[in-house]
Amino acid sequence: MTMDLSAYRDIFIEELNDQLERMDQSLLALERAPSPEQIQTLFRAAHTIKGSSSTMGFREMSDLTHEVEYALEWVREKKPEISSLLIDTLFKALDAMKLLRGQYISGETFADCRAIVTDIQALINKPAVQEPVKLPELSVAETLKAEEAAAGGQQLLAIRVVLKPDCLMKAARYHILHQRIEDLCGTIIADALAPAASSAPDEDERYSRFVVVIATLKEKEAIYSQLEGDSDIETLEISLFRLDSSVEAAGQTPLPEAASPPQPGAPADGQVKANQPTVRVSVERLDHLMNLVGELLIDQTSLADMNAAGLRRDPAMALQNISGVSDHMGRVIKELQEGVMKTRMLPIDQLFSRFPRLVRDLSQKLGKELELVVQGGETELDRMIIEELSDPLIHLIRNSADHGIESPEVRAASGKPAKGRITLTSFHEENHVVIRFEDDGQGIDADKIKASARGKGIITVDQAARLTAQEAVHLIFEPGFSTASQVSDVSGRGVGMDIVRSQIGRLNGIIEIDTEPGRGTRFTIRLPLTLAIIKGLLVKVSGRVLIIPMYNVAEIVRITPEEIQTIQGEHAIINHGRMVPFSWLHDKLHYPRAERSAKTLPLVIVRSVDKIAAFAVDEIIGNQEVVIKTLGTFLGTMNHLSGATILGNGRVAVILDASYLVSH
Amino acid sequence: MTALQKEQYIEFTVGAETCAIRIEEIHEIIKMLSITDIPFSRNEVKGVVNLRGKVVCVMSLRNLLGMADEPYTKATRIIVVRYREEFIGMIVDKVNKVTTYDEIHPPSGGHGRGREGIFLGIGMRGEQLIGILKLEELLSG
Repeated sequence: MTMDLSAYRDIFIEELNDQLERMDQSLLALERAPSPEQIQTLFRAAHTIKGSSSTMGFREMSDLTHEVEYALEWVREKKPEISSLLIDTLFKALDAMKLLRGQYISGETFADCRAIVTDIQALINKPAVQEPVKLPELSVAETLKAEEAAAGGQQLLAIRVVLKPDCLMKAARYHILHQRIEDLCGTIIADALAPAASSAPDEDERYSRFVVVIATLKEKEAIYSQLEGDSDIETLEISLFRLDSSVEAAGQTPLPEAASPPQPGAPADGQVKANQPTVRVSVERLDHLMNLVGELLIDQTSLADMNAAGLRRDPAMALQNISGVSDHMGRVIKELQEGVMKTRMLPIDQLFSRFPRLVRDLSQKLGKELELVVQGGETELDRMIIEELSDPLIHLIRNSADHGIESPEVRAASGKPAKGRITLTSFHEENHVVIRFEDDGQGIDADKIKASARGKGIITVDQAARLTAQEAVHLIFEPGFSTASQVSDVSGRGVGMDIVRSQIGRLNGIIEIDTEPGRGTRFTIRLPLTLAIIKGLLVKVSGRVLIIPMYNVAEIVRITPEEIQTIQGEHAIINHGRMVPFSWLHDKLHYPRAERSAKTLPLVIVRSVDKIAAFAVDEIIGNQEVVIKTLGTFLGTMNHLSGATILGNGRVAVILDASYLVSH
Repeated sequence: MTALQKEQYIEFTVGAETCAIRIEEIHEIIKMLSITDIPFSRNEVKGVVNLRGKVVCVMSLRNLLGMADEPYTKATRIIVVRYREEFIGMIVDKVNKVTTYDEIHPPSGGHGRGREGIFLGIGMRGEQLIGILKLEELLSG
């Protein structure tokens, strides 16, 4: 028991996450269509969690999961009707398990789950809650005996036994076991039976659970193996018995074990261990990477072989060889880059699979029938992006369920199916991932949005008059905007949508809204595949090379200075018939602007999330793949930069943040 | 102060002053590299450099000690130190030598310019006084 388990903590948590998610999914599937396979999956997951939690000394989890497992076994054996009460209770238990997991990770004190345990037991008619048998209170004589034994080098152990429910003649079994313990294990100092409860009319039942305190020279494990084979024992627990613990035992604590493992959440030795994220990569992918590295090594050897002697003998030949190897290396490196990138990729199902549960709960809470359709879950993208996407999508789903989808009556009146449908689709398009979020609700009413935004002082009457319907719809992203006339706990605190925008902006993403009143709303989110390596547009401003993520470059155009218009004191240009705010990138970054001789200005049109702006630069250099390096924390917050990279000439160039460019 | 005395220091020149840093705190000393400036950064942050593939922030020690910058010369060096899990470069006019001090006095107040805290102690060699810099204090400002 002294084994250091902290090394396995991360693995344990990861496995726990997996299994809990699996249970969530199976439970949802079970609710839709009961099947023995789902119950089996649930049972296996619960069993795994129970096992690993108890190995990790995470008793709270293993105890609760034990009850869940027991209930599932009961369902498996008795095959009752899968009632909604059953499903709800299991969901509640699952939520409690998730709560415990969270508390385990953050090191908080664990919540009391006894209410849920009682629910489960009531559901499956398990005999009344079994309080653990209290450790016997030692009499003076027994204490003396124990002290004497302890002084003689023996250790004191408490053996807790629970007999199988179907064991016959429990009293007799008790006496037999008592004798066996005496014979095999050591001197019995005291014992205690379950209290004679009024709920157990059968006197024999009293003997079904008991604790024996012994003094022995043997190790705990040895005794365990002596007794565990007994076919009548349901559970067997052996713990160290401390003499003063009997005092505690008389108090409130039901588990007064001296050898109880350290609080699992508490950082060992005061050292806080960060929960390092880990990645699961298929062996096939790793092998592929290994092969590529092997090829690089071969290339390196052939380069080393082309020594100076060869170069003198036949320079032309040597040069040709070198360029051949260089070409090959280039190809291998490209492939290696893709391969390494793929190890960071996860199917988006990892994210989407969390939502059916959310939709189910929303549906119950709001009294609306909701259906979630997920398509393209196999689309892969960077694991970091997947994590960051969770909150925005949850907000969208909540908003849609709350404001978008009408009540069943309204839907029926307008000839729609009673069940509101939310569709999540994901697919690759060119160099990015598209996530499409659709609902068949009432759509967004541009006039209502305008009125509401005016009422909240987000826009002026003047501005409202000038806004197009499309622009008005985008007002939902403004901070402090919420159209819900009353605040509900599902959404409507007026914080949701601007979080969606800032989060998507952080990921260099773009959002488009299409809405049709009465028919529904569609959000199209476009995201880069990864944040580690991007295509960047290199531009020159005041003698500096700056990088704008290509992903956010809508267009590169040249204009003449005359095309810059001034509208209400702001510069703007007309691009494809629409007005785009214009500024000099120099001004934006407070760099001096050089006198220009050329007739035309190169212009980069940058878009981010739902905004667009045009920036004049001195020169467009071109685009290339850049590896994003962080600037570190020393510089402080740099909202205008999304990092830096190292150019081919070895110099560092900073990467501008597109959402900063368009928004300030 | 006995613990400080056994230690080795790198001694360098910034303007008219000679300062030192404990050798343990120094990761490496490099020649001047081309610096990329960072828009909207603090004045004493000169920018970032590429240190073998790592992007490292570079500060002007002259600015940190309240002096104006001078054009870089052949003798200009960047002392790269480890600070809070990151590498930070500090530009100095010239690196002199590795040295130890026989005598180290506690830092005296009254230097003016509100920089009392930035010295660990004052090293003495003959007539010369050398300020031993306390990085934590110097860089946290």
